[in-house]
Amino acid sequence: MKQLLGFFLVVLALFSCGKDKENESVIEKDKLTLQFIPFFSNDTLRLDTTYQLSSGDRIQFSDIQFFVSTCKNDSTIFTPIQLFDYRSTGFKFATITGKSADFTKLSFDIGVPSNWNHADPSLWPNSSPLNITNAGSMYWGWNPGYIFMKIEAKADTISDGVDLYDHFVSYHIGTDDAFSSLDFPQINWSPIVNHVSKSSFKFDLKTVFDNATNPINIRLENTTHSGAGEATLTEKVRANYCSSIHPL
Amino acid sequence: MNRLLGILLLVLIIAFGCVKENVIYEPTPYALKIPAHFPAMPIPIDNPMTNEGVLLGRMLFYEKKLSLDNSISCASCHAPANAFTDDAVFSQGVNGALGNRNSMPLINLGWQTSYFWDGRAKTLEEQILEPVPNPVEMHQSWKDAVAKLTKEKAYTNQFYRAFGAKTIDSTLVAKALAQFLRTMISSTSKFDVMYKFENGVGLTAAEIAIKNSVTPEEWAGYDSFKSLNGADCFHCHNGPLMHVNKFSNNGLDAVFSDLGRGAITGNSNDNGKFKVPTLRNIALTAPYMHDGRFATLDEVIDHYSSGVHQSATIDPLMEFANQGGVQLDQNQKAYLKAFLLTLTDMKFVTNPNFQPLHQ
Repeated sequence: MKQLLGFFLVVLALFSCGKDKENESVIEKDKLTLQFIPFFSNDTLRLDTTYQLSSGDRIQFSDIQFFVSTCKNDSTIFTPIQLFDYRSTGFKFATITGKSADFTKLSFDIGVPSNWNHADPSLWPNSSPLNITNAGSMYWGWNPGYIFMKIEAKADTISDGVDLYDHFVSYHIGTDDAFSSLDFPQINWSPIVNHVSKSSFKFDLKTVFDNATNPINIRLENTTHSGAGEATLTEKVRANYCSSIHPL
Repeated sequence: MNRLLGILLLVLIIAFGCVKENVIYEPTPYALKIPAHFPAMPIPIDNPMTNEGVLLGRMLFYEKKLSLDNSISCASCHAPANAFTDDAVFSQGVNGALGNRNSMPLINLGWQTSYFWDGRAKTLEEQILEPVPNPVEMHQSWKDAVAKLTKEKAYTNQFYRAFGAKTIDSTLVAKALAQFLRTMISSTSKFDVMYKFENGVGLTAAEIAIKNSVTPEEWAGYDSFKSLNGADCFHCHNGPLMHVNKFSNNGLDAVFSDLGRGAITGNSNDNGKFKVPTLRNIALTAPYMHDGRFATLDEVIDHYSSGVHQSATIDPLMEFANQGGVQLDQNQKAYLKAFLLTLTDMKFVTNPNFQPLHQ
């Protein structure tokens, strides 16, 4: 009988230890969510929806993607490389475990660092946005390397009252020269639920085209694949693209 | 007491005697060989590949009992002799029923992120569940298909070896078939050698000999394939897999008789879009497009050259659509075709591991 009692005590002790461990594991860690929200002026941009440029040309965006690399606050990395793909994943960019106090400012690069840009795209792990299966159409076979920033759209450039979106806009910006660094000295985080805070960047597509000092005329400047003869438009799109991204 | 022991012994002997042919569940992990110039293949956590599972999948791939009247198997519309598709515009199902889409070749499926021309299946396992009950394909309920398999000792044993399962169900059939399909990797065409050479991947002596045999016309075709001012194919067909995971309207029609992706998403912006297929083994997989409208590669090239139709959802990457296409001359067309022929991988098509077990 004493032996039986002893056995039950041991079992009880084991189960009570297990309970303590369970209690320890439910402590939630702080999470930070960063997102990019495409806008057209003051409105959240929706793909395949008509917007009007200051020229009067009407435009429908079909694809907006860009690579963000080395997103960090000084030496504290937020995320090493991420692909923003509006059609596939909406505003979503990255969620990490971390404290907002560690990321009160951020810097990041639009593009892929040169040593990664020219590495074999098949060798990246499946979880990497640089893996060729994940990069998909953001990888150039001919360059070779990645498209750093992309806008694809269709426009109606004839004001005759007839909808005809037959003027294609295709900006594929890449090559090492287009690698661009951005720096944001103040980032605000808003708590959204317990232990989760969010910060958003606005990407204004209107100012990519209707830039005050560097406007793009889509009738004449509608395509660049960053080729040798397209350097002027490539640089214009790159500069406007980067200057259109701001903390919200 | 001795009598009792004797009876117990007898019962044990009978019980052990009933265990069929020492069938055991000790699955061996399948060593999937990923080519040096390919990305790693994502394998679902709930369906790890085993030798036993792959073998079972191969048995099932050629199993006609999966169809209502035991007349067709997966291989009927995805025949090795036709590079794992068939040569019909629309494949014929049970009782002569015809589908409305062209059969897609089974090549490098493990890297794809959607299946069917309209992408309605997100995983290979999900895709496999469809053809058996489909009235224009195998036209048989899964319940009946499983009942037929359960009557076959070879299957009950192999399902046990592969999954430790004493009961067969559609999920396990799909898992086994998916394992087999993931082994079907095409990576030994002349194009693969060109791709490796171009990307600095080491070549074997045999591959160097192949590289040296690439003709100027084939290289010219490859250049045109990748050229923005040439055939301009690379936006949708790039990398070692020769496709990107997307849906595209490639200008086949001004008005759509088949909504394609749009019928799945309900979004009119997706109307007329279809999954971008791989170009591997393209010379062996006629007819072409989702509806098999083009009988030859020449017709396909003519379409992209001068037969493109504008529509509301046309892919903006069809950059020369407003002039009907990329406007290739006869030489450019010949070079492009010469390059497309380098995508033929006969080693893949004739691989004995992909053929029926008992021929």
